[in-house]
Amino acid sequence: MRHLSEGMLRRIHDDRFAASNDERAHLVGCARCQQRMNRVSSDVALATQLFAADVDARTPVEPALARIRGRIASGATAPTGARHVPRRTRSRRWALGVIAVPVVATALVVSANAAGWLSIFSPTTVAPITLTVGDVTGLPDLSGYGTMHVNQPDSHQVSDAAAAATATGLPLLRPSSLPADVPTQVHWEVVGTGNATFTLDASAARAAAAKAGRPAPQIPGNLDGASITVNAGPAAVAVYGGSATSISTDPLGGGIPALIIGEGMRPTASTNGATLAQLEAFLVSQSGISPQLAAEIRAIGSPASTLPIPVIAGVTTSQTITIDGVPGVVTGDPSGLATAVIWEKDGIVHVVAGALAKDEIVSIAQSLH
Amino acid sequence: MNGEAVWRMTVPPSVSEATDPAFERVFRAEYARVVGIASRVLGDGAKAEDVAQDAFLALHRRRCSDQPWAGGWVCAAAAHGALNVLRGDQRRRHRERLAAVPTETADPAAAVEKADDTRILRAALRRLSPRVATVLVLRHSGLSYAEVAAAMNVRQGAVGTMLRRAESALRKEVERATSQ
Repeated sequence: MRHLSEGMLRRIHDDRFAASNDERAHLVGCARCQQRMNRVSSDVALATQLFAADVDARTPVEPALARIRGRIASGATAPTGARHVPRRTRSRRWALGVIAVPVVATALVVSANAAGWLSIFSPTTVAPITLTVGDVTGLPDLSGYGTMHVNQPDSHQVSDAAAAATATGLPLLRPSSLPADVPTQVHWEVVGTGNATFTLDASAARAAAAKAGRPAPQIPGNLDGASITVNAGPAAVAVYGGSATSISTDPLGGGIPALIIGEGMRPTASTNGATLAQLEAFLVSQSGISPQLAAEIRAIGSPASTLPIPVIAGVTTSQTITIDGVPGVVTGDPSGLATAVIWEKDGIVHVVAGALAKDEIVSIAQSLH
Repeated sequence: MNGEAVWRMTVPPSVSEATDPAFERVFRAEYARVVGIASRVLGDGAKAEDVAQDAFLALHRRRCSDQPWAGGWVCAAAAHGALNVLRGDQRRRHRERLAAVPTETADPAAAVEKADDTRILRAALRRLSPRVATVLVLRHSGLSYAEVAAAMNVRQGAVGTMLRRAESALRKEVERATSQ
């Protein structure tokens, strides 16, 4: 019989019946495994000694419950530590997206073709863009500045990688190996193509700004009625761990996945009736867009071809990295609860994310083939 | 890319206006244990209660208190939160150095030994990777293998291996620190 694994020896230390009869018999007769078992026990004893803290088990629950009720009722989202996700973040998500696409296309010189649709954004690389909490909370709510029409992509689960590749036409990359603690059970989900068109309406924008107590936006005449269309998909996502619940309809229904590996065609954007310079000037001039945020946007360098990855200072961290010979962005929760790495190659945006350490996520990303 | 799904997984929704029965049930069931986890890491009851509040608030923001893994999730969140506070708290290190000086107690030798253990543990937890430190904190706070697996979203069979590696890494950190 093979020697017992270190993990099994550790389990036996806590529960000798965790091992089979054969394994217990082996341990009794194997000097090498007994020696290893002694090391296990010694390490457990050391950890037990170090963790033997005087913890008051009589912590009163009801006052603490009253405290958190008060925090919830007051709308508190600010942890007492450093992490802070403002309440308004969610309602501003789409605004971030709307801003991200046109502003990264700022410096693109477009030919005069106002009658037709111009491609303004077709990213070939990714870069982080840092927002402060103040930037996020200060963003104007642009939902009232016009009308949004969304064609939701179809999303459904498929049986395996081959079916996902067939459904999306994407050359799905797979990891060479995964950490031992990542569940081997994989659910595949595919997303079709979708698009969203936002059409500016000057009179609606003025009314929305007045209602929000903001200065009336200055909208050039040719922007009134101009549209921006963002196209995305198809995409495929492999979800490791969690249940078979569709993550697009119920992302937490099956538990937080240990790992997701996804890829999709790069998003593109086009516009009619306006130049990018006009769109950018309009958006950056809105009250609530800080000079620092505007500078961040301008610093991207090649805006029409760069997909910005929003990073909120103090809430998420970011680092640039090289994956498969191209630049990527590693972003995550500073406490290590979740990490994601995002990069684009050959027109395909790749994402590897999960509740793993940064080094593990990066290692998985680099092993994709 | 299904950006909305990924976004929703990594950025929590905002807090709703009122608590819900499932959340209060989890709070009452897990609060003492969650404070205990943070206490073992921080050794400071008030800070541990703050970390527990943040962990439960994060749970509430995710609106998943009715999920079977909610209890494990909030334990892991508390461990992460406490480790995060530990790593960022420079002033605590200074206080721990002061605490290493023996004080007037009934058993000064035992007090010195305990202070040394506390200082050594926290120094090691700061250096270990978050995942390694988390498995140590959860298991040595009394979570079963099944609960650790649920909290860290791993297979139960992997917990023994993770724990073994973590305790071995802890010993190496302790030996490194005490040999300096």
